[in-house]
Amino acid sequence: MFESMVTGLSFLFQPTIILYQLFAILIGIIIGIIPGLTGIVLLAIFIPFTWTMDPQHALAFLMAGYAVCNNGGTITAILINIPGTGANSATLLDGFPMSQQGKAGQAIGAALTASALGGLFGGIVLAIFIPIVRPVVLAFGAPESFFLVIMGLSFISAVGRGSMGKALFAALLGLLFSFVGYHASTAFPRYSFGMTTLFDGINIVPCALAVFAIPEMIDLMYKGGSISKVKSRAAPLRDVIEGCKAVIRHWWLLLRCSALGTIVGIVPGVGADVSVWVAYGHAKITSKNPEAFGKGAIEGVIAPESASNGKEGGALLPTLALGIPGSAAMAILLGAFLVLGIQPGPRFLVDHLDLAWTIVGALIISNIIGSLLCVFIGMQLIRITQVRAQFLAPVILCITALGAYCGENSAFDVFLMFALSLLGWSMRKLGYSRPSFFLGFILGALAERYYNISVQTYGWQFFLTPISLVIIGLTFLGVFYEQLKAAFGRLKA
Amino acid sequence: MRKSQLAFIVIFLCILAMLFYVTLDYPWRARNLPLLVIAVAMLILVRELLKEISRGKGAVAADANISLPERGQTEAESPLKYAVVFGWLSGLVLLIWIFGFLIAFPVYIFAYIKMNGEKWIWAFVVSVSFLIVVYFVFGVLLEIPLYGGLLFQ
Repeated sequence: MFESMVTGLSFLFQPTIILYQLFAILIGIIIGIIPGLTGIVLLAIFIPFTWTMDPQHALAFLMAGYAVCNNGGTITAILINIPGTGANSATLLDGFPMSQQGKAGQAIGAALTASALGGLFGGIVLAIFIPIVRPVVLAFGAPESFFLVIMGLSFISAVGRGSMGKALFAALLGLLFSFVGYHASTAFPRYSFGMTTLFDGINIVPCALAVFAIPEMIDLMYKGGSISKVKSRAAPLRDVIEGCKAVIRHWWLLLRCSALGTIVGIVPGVGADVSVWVAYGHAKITSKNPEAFGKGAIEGVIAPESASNGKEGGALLPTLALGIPGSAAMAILLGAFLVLGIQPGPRFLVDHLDLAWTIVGALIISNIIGSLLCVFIGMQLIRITQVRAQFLAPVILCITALGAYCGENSAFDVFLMFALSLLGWSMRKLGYSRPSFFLGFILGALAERYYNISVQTYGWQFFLTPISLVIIGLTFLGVFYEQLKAAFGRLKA
Repeated sequence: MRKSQLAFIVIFLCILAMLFYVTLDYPWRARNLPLLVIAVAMLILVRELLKEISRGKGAVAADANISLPERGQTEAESPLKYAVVFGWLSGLVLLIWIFGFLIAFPVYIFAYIKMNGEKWIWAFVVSVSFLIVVYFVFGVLLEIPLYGGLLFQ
C-alpha cells in the first residue's frame, strides 16, 4: 500500500508530467471560462490526445484539466454574471452582487481559496478511503460486478436530471451500441450490417465527442454572437488576498460544505449542480444573517465553491473502487480508462493502486495550482468570453474531427462521429440523459462479460450470491425510493 | 417539441423492433443479453409513448383557446436556423471526405468566419494559424498520417 502511494505520487513530480499538468490546467481554466463548455466536454476533447501517452501521463493530464474547469467558470460567474459551468450557478448569486459593490477581488479570492481547499478536502477523503475500500472490493466476483454495473446504470438514470424512463432508455441504448462488433465469446459480428469497419465495434472517442462535444457546438453555432457583452470589473490583488483571509475566518463553514460536497459526490449519478445548491442552502440556513444571502454575502460564495470541488474527490471514490461513476464526468473518465487499456471496476484498486494515487495527487495539486493561476491570469483570460462564436465554433469542430481521427487514424471514425452527433443532439433537445447513454456504452462490454461468466459458473441462480442480493436490493431502493416513500406514507396515513 | 418527442419514440421503436428481429438469428450466447436489453428498452419506450399521448391530450384540452407557437418549436427556436447549422456541419464532413484535413480545415474555418459577418483578414488569420498548428503538431511532431481525402489519399 505505502509503496503504491509513493510510486503513484512520485509520477506527478516528473518534469514531463508537470508540463502536461500545467498545460492541461491552462486549457481547463479556458474551457471553464467559456460557458457551455464544461469539464465533461474537456474530457471528451482531451481523451483522443491521450492515445499516445502512457497511463500516468494521460491520467495526470486529464485530471489536471478537469479539476480546474470550475475555477475558470468562477471568474465569469463573479465578474460578468455568467456561470462558466453548472457548478458555478450558485456562486453568481452572491459573487456578482459583490462584484457590483466593488468587492470583485474579495469574491474571487474567497471563491478560489474555498475551491482549492474544498478540492484538497475531497482528495484527502479519497486518499483515506482507498485503503479501507480495497479489501472490500476483493470480495466482488463476476455476479457482483455484473450487478454493480446494473446499479451504476440505474442510479445515474434515477438520480440524475430529467425523466427516469428516458434516462433508463438512454442507458439501454448505450448498452446496445456497445454490442456492435465481434462478440467476445463467439467471435460473431453483431450489428455490423456487413460493414467491416464496424467489426471492431464503435470506438469510445468518436462516441464521446458525438454525444457531448458536437451538440454543444451546434448550440454555439445556432446562438452565434459573443458569449458576453458585459465588461468585467477590476479586481486588485490586495482585495483578492482579503478574500482568501475571509475563507480562513469562515473555516467551519468551509469544512462543513466541503464535507457536504464530498458526500454528495460519493452518491453515484449526482452531479456538481446538486452539491453546490445543497451547500448554498445549508450555508443560508445556518448563517446568522440569512437575509444577506443573494445580496453579496461572502458565505454565499465560499459554500458552493468548496462543495463543487469537494465533490470531485467524493465522485472519484465509487468510480475508482467500484467502477460506478460518481458523476457524468466520471463516466467519461471510465471511458478514458478503457482507451488506456485499464479495466475499470473493482479490480482497479487491486491491479492499479499506484494509478489511483496518481489520480488523487493530480486532483489535489491541480486544484491548488489552478486556483493560484486563476488569481493571476483569470482576469485576463476572461476576455475569451468576448470572442465571438463565429471564431470558436469552427475551430472547436475541427479539433473534434481531429480528435475522432487520431485514435485509429481512421476517417470512418470522423464520419461516424458526425453521424452519431445527430443522436447526441436529439438526446440533448428531447431530455434523454447523455451520461446514462455513455455509461451504458462504455460498461456494456464489461457487463456482458460478467454476465456470461456468471451464467457459466453459477447457472441462472447467479443473482443469489449474498453480495449480489444486497446490490440488487440497494438498486431497487435507489430507483424506487420516491415511490416507496409515497407508498409507506399512504400506509401510515 | 411534443411532435419531436413522439417522432423520436416511434423511430426508435421501429429500429428496436428491427434489431430484435435481426438478433434472433445470432448464436445463443451472442443474442442473450442484447435480446433482453432490446425488450426492456422497447417496454420503456412504449411507456414513454403512452405518457406523451396522454400528456398531449391534456395539454390540448387546457390550451384550446390559446394560440400556440408552431408545433414542435418553442417561440425562441427557428428550424431554418438549425437547418443552416446542420448544413455547415454537413459541409465540413463533405470537405473532409473529398479534400482531407489539410484543405478542409482552413477552407471551412475561412468560409464560416467570413460568411458569418467577420472581416476577411480575421478569417484568413484564424484559418491559416489553425492549419499551421495542425500541420506541425499532428503531422510533424506527432507524425500522425493526416487523412488526405478522396482526391489526395
